[in-house]
Amino acid sequence: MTNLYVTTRVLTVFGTIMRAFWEQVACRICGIPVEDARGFKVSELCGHIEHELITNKKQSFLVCWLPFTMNFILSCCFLLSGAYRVVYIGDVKTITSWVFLWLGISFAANCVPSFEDVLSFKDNFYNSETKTIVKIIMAPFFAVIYGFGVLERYSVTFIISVIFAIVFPQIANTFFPVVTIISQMLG
Amino acid sequence: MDDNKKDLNLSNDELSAAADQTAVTEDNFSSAIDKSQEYSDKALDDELEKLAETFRQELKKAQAMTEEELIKNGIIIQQYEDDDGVIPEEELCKCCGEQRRDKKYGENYEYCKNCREAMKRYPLSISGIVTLAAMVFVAVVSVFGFASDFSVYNTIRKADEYLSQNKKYSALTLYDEAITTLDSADIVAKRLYLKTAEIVYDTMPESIYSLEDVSYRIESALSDFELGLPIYAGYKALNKEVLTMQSTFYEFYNIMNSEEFADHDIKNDEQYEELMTEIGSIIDKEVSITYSDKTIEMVPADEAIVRFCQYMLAYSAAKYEDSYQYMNVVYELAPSRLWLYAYELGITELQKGDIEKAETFANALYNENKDLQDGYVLYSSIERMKGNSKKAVEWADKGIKELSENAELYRMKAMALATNGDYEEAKKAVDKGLEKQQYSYIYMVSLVIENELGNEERVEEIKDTMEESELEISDKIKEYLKGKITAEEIFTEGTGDVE
Repeated sequence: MTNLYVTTRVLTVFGTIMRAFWEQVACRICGIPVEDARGFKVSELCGHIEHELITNKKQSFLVCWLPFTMNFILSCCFLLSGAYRVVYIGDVKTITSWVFLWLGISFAANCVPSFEDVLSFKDNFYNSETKTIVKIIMAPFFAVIYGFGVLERYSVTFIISVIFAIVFPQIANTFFPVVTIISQMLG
Repeated sequence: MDDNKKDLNLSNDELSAAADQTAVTEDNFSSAIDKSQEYSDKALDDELEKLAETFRQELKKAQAMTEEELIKNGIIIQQYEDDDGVIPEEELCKCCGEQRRDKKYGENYEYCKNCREAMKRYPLSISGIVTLAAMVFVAVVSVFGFASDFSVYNTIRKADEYLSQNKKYSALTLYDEAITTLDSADIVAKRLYLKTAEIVYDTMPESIYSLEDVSYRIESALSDFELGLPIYAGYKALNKEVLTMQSTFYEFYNIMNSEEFADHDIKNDEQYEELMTEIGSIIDKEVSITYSDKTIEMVPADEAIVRFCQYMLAYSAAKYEDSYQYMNVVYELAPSRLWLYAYELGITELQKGDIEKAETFANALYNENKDLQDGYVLYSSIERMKGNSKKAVEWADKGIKELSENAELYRMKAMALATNGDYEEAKKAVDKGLEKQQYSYIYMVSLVIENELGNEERVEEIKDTMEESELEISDKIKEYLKGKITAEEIFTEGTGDVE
C-alpha cells in the first residue's frame, strides 16, 4: 500500500511538493516546530512534513486547511485550461492542454492533510472542553478532511481527482451566467 | 546543614536562593520591624520569634525537597549531572547533540530548548519557493488562457443547454459557431465534431444531403487509427451506415437518370411497375462505399433507403396506397430514423382516421427535436381534426414561441381558429404567416378566410397573386369557392387541409 501511495505522489509530483510547502508555511505561521521538512520520503508521510503535535485549535485548523485551500485553488486554475480543452471540447492534440490537465489533477490529488493532522484536528475540536456550537460548525470541515484522509491512505484520492477533472467543466459551467453578468457590468 | 548541602550537591548560593524564595523577604522583615514601634518589648520578642520559626520551617522544607522537585518548581536549573559535568548521550538533543533535551515537553522529547526555537523558524527550501513561483505563474497563464476562450466555452454551454431541452437545431447552430471559432485557432474540437455528427444524423436538417455532413464530421474528428479503436466503434459503425445510405441513394439516382429509365412515365402503370422493380432490385445488390483514406468497401445496400426511394416514386405517381405501404416498411426497418417516415406517416394515419397512431408519431417528433415544426404541426392537425380547436391553437402557439419565423405554424393557427369560427383572429394569423413565407397552401388558407370574412377584393388579389406565381388552386378549394363544401369541412374532414 505504501508503494502505491508513494507512486501516486510521484505521479503528482508538483502537487506533492506544494502540499509539503504549504504545511511548512502553516507551521511557520503558527510557530509549530518542524522536525523534518522533506516532502519526499518513501513512507506514508510522503508529501507531508513532520512537525510537533498540535495542541491548539487555531493551529490545527490552519495546518489542515491552508494546504487544502491553496492546492484546491491552484488545481481549479489549472483545470480551467486543462479540463476545458481536453475534456470539454476534446482538444487532444495540444500538449499544453494535457500539461494543464495533469497539473490540475496533481494538485487536486494533494489537498488532504496527513492523517495525523486530521486526528489532531479531531482531538482539538471534539473534546469535552469544546462548545457544542463549535463542534457543529466544524463538522463539515472535519468530515471532508477525515473522509478524504481515509481515502488517501488507499490512494483513492488520485482516482477522485481524475473524476473531478472530468466533471470540472460541468461544475464550473454553473458559474458562467454569474461571470457573464459581472463581465457585462464591468465592460 | 553542610551534609545536607553535599547530598543535594548544591552551593551556598543555591541553597540561599531556595530559602529566599520560600522565606520572608527583607521588605517584609522591615515592615515587621516598623510595626515593632507600636508593640511592647515582649510583643516584639514574640513577633521576632514567630518570624524566625517561619524562616526555619521554610528552610527545612527547601532542604527536604528532592533535586527533581526543585528542578520541577523551577527553583534551580540543573546543568551538570555527574562529577565530570558531561551529559549522557541519551539525554543529548537529537538535533545539535550538545545541549540537554528539554523535558518540559515530555519525557521522550528529543530536542533542546534552543533547537526547538530554531525549528519554529525552519527555513523554507529554495526548491519549494521556486516551485511555488513557477506554479503561480503557470496558474496565471492558465486562467488567462481560459479567459480568452471564455466566449467559446459559453457558447458551447448554451448549446449543451439547448440540447438538454431537445432543441437540436439551436444546439447545432451554436456548436457549429464554436467549431468555426476553434478551427480558426487550429484547434480540433473532437468532442464537438462527434456530438454534432450525432445531432445531424438524428435530425437530418438538409434531408439526405446531411448524410455527407455526418461522415465529414466523424472523419474530421477521428483519424483512421482512432476509428479502429474499440471506444470509437460506435462512430465507425455510424460512419459506415451513413456512407451506405448515401451510396444506396446514388444507386437510386443512377437508375432514375439512366438511359433506360430516364424517360419512363410514372403515370403509366406498366412503366411505373418496371421502374419500381428496378429500384427494388438494389436491395439484392452491393454498393461501394469510399472512406476518407480512399479505401473502398462493398456492402449490402440499405433496404430502408431503397423502400424510401420507392415511397418517393409512388407518392410522385399519386399511388398513395403504395406510398403508405412503403413508408410502413421503412418504419419497421429503421424505426430510429424518424426523419425518414415519421411526419409523412403521421399525417397519413391522421387522414385515415387512426388518431392514436398519428399521436404516437407526433409525440416522437416533438420529443426528438423541439426546434422542428413537424411535431407541433402534427399535434395541431390532430387536435383540429378531433374538433379541439382550442388545443390546436395552443399547439400552434407553442410552436410559434420556439419558431417565430415559421409560416406553416401560423397557417396551422389560422386553420384552427377558422375551425372555431374566429375568422378575424385567423386572418391575423395567416397574414403574419404570409409575411414570413408565401407558398400555395398558405395562400389557399388565406383565400378561404378572406372569403369567409366577405373580403371579395382580397380574394381576387390572392387568386391573381397565385396565378402570377404559377401556383395552382387545388380542386378542394375550387369546390369550396363554388359553394359545394364549407370551410369547416375543409379543415376538419378528409385530409383536413386545403388539398
